[in-house]
Amino acid sequence: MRRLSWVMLLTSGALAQPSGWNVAGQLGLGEKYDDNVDLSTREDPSGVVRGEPVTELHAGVAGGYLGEAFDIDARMKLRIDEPNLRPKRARLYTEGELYLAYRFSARHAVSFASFTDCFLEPDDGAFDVCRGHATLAWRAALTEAWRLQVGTESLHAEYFQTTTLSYDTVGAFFELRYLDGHRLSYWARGTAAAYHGAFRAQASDVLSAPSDGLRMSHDLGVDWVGSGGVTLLGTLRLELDNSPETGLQTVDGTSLADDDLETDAQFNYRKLRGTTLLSWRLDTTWTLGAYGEAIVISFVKDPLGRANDTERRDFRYLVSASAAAALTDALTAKLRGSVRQNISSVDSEDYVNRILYLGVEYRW
Amino acid sequence: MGAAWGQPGTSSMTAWEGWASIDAAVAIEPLDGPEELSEKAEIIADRRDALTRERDRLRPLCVELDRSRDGVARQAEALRELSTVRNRRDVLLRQRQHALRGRLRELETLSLKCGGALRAIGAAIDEIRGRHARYLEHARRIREEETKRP
Repeated sequence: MRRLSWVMLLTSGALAQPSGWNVAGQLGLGEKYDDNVDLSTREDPSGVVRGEPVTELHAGVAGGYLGEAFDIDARMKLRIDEPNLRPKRARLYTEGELYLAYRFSARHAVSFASFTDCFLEPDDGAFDVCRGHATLAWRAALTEAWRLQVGTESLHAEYFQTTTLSYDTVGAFFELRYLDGHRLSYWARGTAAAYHGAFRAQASDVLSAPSDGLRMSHDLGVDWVGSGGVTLLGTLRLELDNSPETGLQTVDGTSLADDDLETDAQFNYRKLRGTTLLSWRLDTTWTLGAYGEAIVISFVKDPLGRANDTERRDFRYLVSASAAAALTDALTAKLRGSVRQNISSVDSEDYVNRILYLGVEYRW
Repeated sequence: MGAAWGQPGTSSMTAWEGWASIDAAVAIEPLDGPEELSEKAEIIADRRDALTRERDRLRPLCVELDRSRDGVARQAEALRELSTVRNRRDVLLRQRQHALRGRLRELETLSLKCGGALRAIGAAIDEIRGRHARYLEHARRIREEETKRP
């Protein structure tokens, strides 16, 4: 019960108890081997350390309240990656979440979710960034099988040193979901967001986010909970990002050391992304997981047709497999391996990265 | 909470609570003999059997909801683990987490409701079984008294 309570609290805001407060925590320690810490290309002649063992430490705390009409859930997590060969290249990842929901009738609810995460390198803060993502949504049960969710979402990305990369987005979305029984659902989502970045024309040679642009995404997905402890999440997303500025080529034309940037600090592109997440609970001890994603992305130099050539095209994939064994009610051992690769029309952007992780996690 | 957040099959979780009462039909009258009492016990037995069928229908539904809830909870946890694999959550991950959270809360509510309905129908079956036994016992006693009379 304690495990279930933790899982539900940490992952969903739903508690094992129908109402009341709950608090949980986790502490993890592991060692991983990362064969390409800086995601450098094979041809990189600089002689940088490509692979090395990294110690990973993480800690988290979560608390929440689940009531008849009102939910609140908050959590924080800190992860430190400490490369063993280069102790001054530690990386910090922090995550914070706040979720509030109010069900004002049997068919309608409103929710607010806020996610904040930061990436910090104390000894090299060029791309240190914190990003806050907030969603305000209204959810309705149209019929027993159809759900509709509409809302607004915003994102603020603040790069502390490379401030010209900072940007904000504000947008709206809808999500329509069809429930085919209790275990299977299909959904479609559309999002449109306008963004405003820190680009300055007088400094067009500086790495920067465009001053204005529009990002639209169209998603299709399936969520399935099978018998025998198998679950599947699948998504297919088409994302179109358009900005009239050409100065942003300094972003996609520059090799950024951290792949972490690929998630948000890219502009003026067309991206098709497919993801599949599988989990399989074998028994009360073993849980297996697998994740795969593939991305085809084309950066557009000038979407307005002034120079309508595709400057760069990348194909990226990430495959990950994991196994978790519950050693006791509170202690879990985890083994995880992942491979990711970028194959780019710009040779300097190619990389391959393999990571193998083994660690333990204590939860209370 | 009603059935609004329900899924197919969940709208009738508490439908039995709306069934017509049999209290008037089985009320014991002063002149009721063994035959009348046995007939009324039959009515009670019919209601008992109907409730049992309803519970048998509800049980797999509750198991299904519990499994779905646990499965979605694991999906949400797996999504969270992805922030480590991908080094952070991107917008897509955050959006999926938000959607799953709402879905999980819905399943949690339904699961609790189903569990409550199962407990309530179990209590109703226990109560009506006792009632049925009392009617049969009453009928048996009257029948015995009648046979002892000269």
